[in-house]
Amino acid sequence: MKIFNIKDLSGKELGKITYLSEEKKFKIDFFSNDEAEKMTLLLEEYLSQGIKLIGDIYLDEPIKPDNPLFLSSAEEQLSRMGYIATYKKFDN
Amino acid sequence: MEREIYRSSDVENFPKKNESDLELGHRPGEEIGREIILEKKVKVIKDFFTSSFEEKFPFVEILNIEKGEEISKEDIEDFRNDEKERYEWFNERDYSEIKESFSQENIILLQEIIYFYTGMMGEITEGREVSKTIQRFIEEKKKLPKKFIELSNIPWKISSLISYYLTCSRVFCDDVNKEKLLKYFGEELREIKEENFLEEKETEQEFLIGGFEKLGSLTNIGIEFAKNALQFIPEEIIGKNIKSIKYEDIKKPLDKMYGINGDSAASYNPLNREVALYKVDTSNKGFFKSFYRLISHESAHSLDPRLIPQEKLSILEEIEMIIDWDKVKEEEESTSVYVRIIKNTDKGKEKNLKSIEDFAETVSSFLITPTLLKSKSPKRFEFCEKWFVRQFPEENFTKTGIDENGESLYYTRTIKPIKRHLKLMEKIEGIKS
Repeated sequence: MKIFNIKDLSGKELGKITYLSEEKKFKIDFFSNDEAEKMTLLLEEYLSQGIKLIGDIYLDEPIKPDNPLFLSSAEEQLSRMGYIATYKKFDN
Repeated sequence: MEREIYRSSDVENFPKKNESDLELGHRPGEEIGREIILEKKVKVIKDFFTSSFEEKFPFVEILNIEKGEEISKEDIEDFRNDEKERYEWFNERDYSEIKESFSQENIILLQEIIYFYTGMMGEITEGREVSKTIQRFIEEKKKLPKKFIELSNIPWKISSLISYYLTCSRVFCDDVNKEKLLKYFGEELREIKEENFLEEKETEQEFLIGGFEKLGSLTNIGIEFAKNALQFIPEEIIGKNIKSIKYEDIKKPLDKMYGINGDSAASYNPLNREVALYKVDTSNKGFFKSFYRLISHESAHSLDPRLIPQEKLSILEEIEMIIDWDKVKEEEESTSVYVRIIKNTDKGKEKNLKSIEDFAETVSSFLITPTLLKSKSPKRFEFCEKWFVRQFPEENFTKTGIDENGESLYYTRTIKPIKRHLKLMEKIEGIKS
């Protein structure tokens, strides 16, 4: 399990995301429903389609949840979307 | 003041002994014979790009023999192989556009750039302490006219290539000529500063954005997107290092040297200072919003020409940033995934690519999410702080926000220049937000 505190670029705290590594699922706990919905869509896309854009390239084979780089890639993607994901706790 | 003048444009003559009247090039402000010299310079540089390795480096063998040193054939062969490898590394780059772009004006400016870099590399060749030498030249560079700095950003590939070429010839120069050359470069630099002859009045130039109408029906990316993206980019970069951003509805395969199967999402062209974004997968809606991060990544690449490879590596060493790329494995989370997966069978190339892309990712992160960068990689954050202050002394970086240790967290940038650019963008054609 890995927990991230999520803030926007201005530093406003939006909530937290928990990644359940065994189930390969994200659990979203946000203060705002709108923000939670946006984040849900985003993370569902990562889980289903994988992460295709890294750096300034599109990968032919997206990074999917079974790839050890998935979580790091998801973190980076969130920062690309204007979120600040700060690692909070690792417990597995 | 009396001084001797040499000529480096005649490479075949340059290293020979007893030719103290060789002329390196025109003196600033000297008009007599300027056109003839200029033509020679154009020819030498054009020849350089069209000649073979053997034609470029004939002196490797000849000079040593002339100097009367006993050098074995094996030594010469080893040297030639080493140099050939380095040459091929340079040669893999696409210089076709460069070859055709030599105007006379560019040649004059290029010459000054070559002098500058060659002087630096010459000191290194002399065995001086590399980091101190580079640091001194960075300081020197800051004192040079703005126009010089700006122009030195454009043809960095040319300048680094040619300076390498000239340095090769200098390595085999006798001591007298070496001394003269160093003296020359020193005087040349002083004259550039004293006469300020390259200084030009700054003029406002249009910032161009194009092609985004093709995405209009599929996404909300358009002029608003570009405006938002530009807010993160320092004023010094916009309009100088980047003059346009365009979307091209094509796929652009990634260079094989990255060892990654995929297409380029964006690129920076230092020749026309243009950032290009390439065809998007419209089924993947998530990353549309992240497009602005691509702009910042490419902006960082636009800064790359400010550092020649040797300079960059030295700086990285200086700040103890990650330079042992073998340690950048999957579990090394402070390095971006992109940098981690770059692979090349040639470890030198891999290191160089990782260095370039890590720089872009680091600067991009610093511009958009400095707090995150600070928490993930304090060394990179520190590097950016120092680097940006050094590169953009006039940029208004203001720290706002305080963390639990009383340290500043966020950086805001002056709003005024952004507004100026937004005003300029109103002139842009074909943009419908």
